[in-house]
Amino acid sequence: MSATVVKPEKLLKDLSGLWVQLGKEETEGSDRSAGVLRAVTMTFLLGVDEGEDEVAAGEALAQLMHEHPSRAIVLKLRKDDGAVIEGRAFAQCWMPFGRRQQICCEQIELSAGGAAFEDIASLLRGLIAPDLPVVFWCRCGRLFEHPSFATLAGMADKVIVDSRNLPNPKAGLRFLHQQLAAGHLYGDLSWTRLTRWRETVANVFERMDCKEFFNQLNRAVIEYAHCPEPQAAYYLSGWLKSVLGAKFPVDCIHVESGAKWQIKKIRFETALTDVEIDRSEKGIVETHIQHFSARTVFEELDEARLVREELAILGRDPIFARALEIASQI
Amino acid sequence: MQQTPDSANPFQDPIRFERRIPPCSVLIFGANGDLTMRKLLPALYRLAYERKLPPGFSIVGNSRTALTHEQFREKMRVSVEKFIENSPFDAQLWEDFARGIYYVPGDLSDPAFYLALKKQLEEIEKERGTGGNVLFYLSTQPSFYASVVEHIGASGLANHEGGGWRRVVIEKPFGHDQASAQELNSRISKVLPESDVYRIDHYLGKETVQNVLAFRFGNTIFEPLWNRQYISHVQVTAAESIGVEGRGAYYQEAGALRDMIQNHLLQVMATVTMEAPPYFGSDAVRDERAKLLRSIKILKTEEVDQHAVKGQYGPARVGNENLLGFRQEPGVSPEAQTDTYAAVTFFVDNWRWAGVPFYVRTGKRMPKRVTDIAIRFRKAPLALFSSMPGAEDSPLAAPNLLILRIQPDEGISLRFQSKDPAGGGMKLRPVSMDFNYGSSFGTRTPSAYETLLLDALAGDSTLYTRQDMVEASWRAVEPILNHWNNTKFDFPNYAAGSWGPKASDDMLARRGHEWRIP
Ligand SMILES: NC(=O)c1ccc[n+]([C@@H]2O[C@H](COP(=O)([O-])OP(=O)(O)OC[C@H]3O[C@@H](n4cnc5c(N)ncnc54)[C@H](OP(=O)(O)O)[C@@H]3O)[C@@H](O)[C@H]2O)c1
Repeated sequence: MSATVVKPEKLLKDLSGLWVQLGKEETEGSDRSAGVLRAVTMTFLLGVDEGEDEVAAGEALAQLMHEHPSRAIVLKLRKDDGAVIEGRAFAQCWMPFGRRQQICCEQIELSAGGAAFEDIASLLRGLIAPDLPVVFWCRCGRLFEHPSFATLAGMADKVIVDSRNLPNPKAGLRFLHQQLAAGHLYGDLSWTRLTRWRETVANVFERMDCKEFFNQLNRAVIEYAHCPEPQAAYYLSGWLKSVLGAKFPVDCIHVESGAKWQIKKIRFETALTDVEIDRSEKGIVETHIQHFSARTVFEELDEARLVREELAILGRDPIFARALEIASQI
Repeated sequence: MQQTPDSANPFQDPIRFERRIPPCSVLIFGANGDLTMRKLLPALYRLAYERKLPPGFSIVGNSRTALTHEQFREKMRVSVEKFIENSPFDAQLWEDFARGIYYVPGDLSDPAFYLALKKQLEEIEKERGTGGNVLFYLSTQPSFYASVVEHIGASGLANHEGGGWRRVVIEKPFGHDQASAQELNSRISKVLPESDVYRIDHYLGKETVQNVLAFRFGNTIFEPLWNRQYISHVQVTAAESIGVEGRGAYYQEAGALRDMIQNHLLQVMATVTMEAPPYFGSDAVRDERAKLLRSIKILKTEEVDQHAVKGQYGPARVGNENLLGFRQEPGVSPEAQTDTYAAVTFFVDNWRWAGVPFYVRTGKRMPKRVTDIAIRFRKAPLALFSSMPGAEDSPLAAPNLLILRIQPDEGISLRFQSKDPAGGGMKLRPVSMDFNYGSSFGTRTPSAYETLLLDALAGDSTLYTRQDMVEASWRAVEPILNHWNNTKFDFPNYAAGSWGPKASDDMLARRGHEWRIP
């Protein structure tokens, strides 16, 4: 099959045409509407694997675009290694609740098989929205290992991955640490998932005299499920060690659990009393401090929520960097 | 909003963790009133909807009408459903939220009532684990403010044995002149320290007003121009299309200068003109606002007529509607001397702003509802393109204009000159570059009351006015109020549905300026 040449100018022209078209449809449409608003706050590259959860990726993207209207460019790695490059442009629109103006964001999809994928990077140079940040969410392990990953990551101001989905999660942590050390911005959704846990730990220590408590602390224990690569436990222990210092051991203990999540319990053991945060199979989290106990629920966060947290941080995140440094050495 | 390093707790992560509100209750005095139903409860519900309130969060309402907890909950449900803006009503969530709503009937002047309140708060503390933290919200007639705070003190409600915090939010108006504001401050300060007094000015909670600070101090391109050298003058407009809407009796006593300029618009003006604070903390920001308010030039009595215009609307037909004049509104005296319109030329006596007029106007029954700040830059120093016939005095030969829109459609526009592609030759015409806050970020902007309530619960007073700020702004308007009180005006002097009295246009014309039509 002879390939149609994909040119950035053509895709951008298609996008412009779309906007003109949308504007027309709107003004001809209902009297409630007040036009289409073109909004771009960044270029958002989304790397996906053909056939693998494409729908979920599309949904996450649509959700993200509500808060971060962007030029979204979906980079699809085709199953057929020899598949040629294809590209198309379209727009995603929605009417924000209670407003009269539709918001649309532009979307471009570029796909290719492994052999032609490297050419995608050269196309991207002409497609990135000027003067705005570029964020690359690599949702596909195959793409992470593909030679073009480095080029794509090099174009982005921030790269987001989920290390637990990488072909070699442990090596993934080491890679992330090297990248951070070299001054690149990376986010890892396996770390983002821990924010609620970390917040709960921090809240526990809001209630007590930390200095006094650390004087009595013997060790911290993390109970986790799901082997062989418990990314969450690595990160959590990296974080606890970075806060507590080398003086206190942080032990990770594997337990059986039917729940979806990795972390089951965090316990701080002191000579007098223990502090325990326990997530039950049903998701309820109980905190026990001496005679006091409190219950809360960790909502399950979908990918869009996790990525949103990462998008809010487009600068350095020293707490993550320190935890990652330790986690990558475990 | 306040950024202070949390050194005591090494587990904190300010980049990622949401600001935590400790368990607490809000006690609303005047809970049967308009403000509670229209603004406070919908804002609190919305905060619950966004999971920003702590577990056990409780609300206690009070007014004289006898209601059970259940009846009060039902009343609040109806008003939340009616007044919640841009948000869905979730019945399930309401059930949870309503379980924490209580009502204690009683008269504010009855000391025994405060003991009943105390008992109710203690029960709630036990049942719902609120830790003794209470935010008192004075949503009552202003004449009650001082005495309610004194009763709170006398009944022991101002302190909590277990160390819970006690704060008071006070609605506007904060006094009706400088002396009454000082008296109010002095009575309140006998019961509570200044750090626990939150004087609300809901304009400061508006997203665009906060955005003014981000715009000025987060960018480098505007601040170097932000001074007398580049800015010709500034116009602050707060126009309402509605009349007094049944609040005629209240408004008759207040008037536009007191109701809008003394508080909201002077705060807005201070935000636009203040110096950069050394860091973004509550007292640092408020110190700069206060300093600016103290720099406002105080008018001498003989200067007032040249610098301030008082107006009142008369009847008019607008579209197919006959609008009443102010004096014909229910509850208003046919001889009322009230200002339903006020315009003032302020000057700021400091190096940055010396000689720059700040024209501030507000009025009821204007052609539309709009609040904005227009910063008019000076003309280009060399009229390079003015040799074209008619170019010099063309309305298109307009200098740069930066508009900060506060409502509706919050956003920022910049007008600049561009070559007109039509007709050939070097003709210029102004074009406008618009940034629309709401639609550029597809998210919903929180209402001012949501922002401010959350701040008060978190103990952040950056967006609340401080005693010295209130007193400084009264000082700035007092000569005008006094002079107006001693003068009889021939009212009405503008028609409903117009942009105000001619005298206001004349005030600007004397300096070679004119009001823009927003
Ligand atoms: N409404 C607004 O949009 C608005 C805007 C900005 C500022 N404010 C300020 O906010 C405050 C509240 O406004 P509002 O319009 O809600 O006030 P309001 O309706 O005048 O008063 C609130 C409630 O207080 C109760 N009350 C009156 N006398 C009482 C007493 N002796 N003891 C106990 N309760 C008493 C009344 O209910 P009962 O008859 O049941 O006792 C009344 O419904 C005012 O200071 C106002 O200046 C209001």
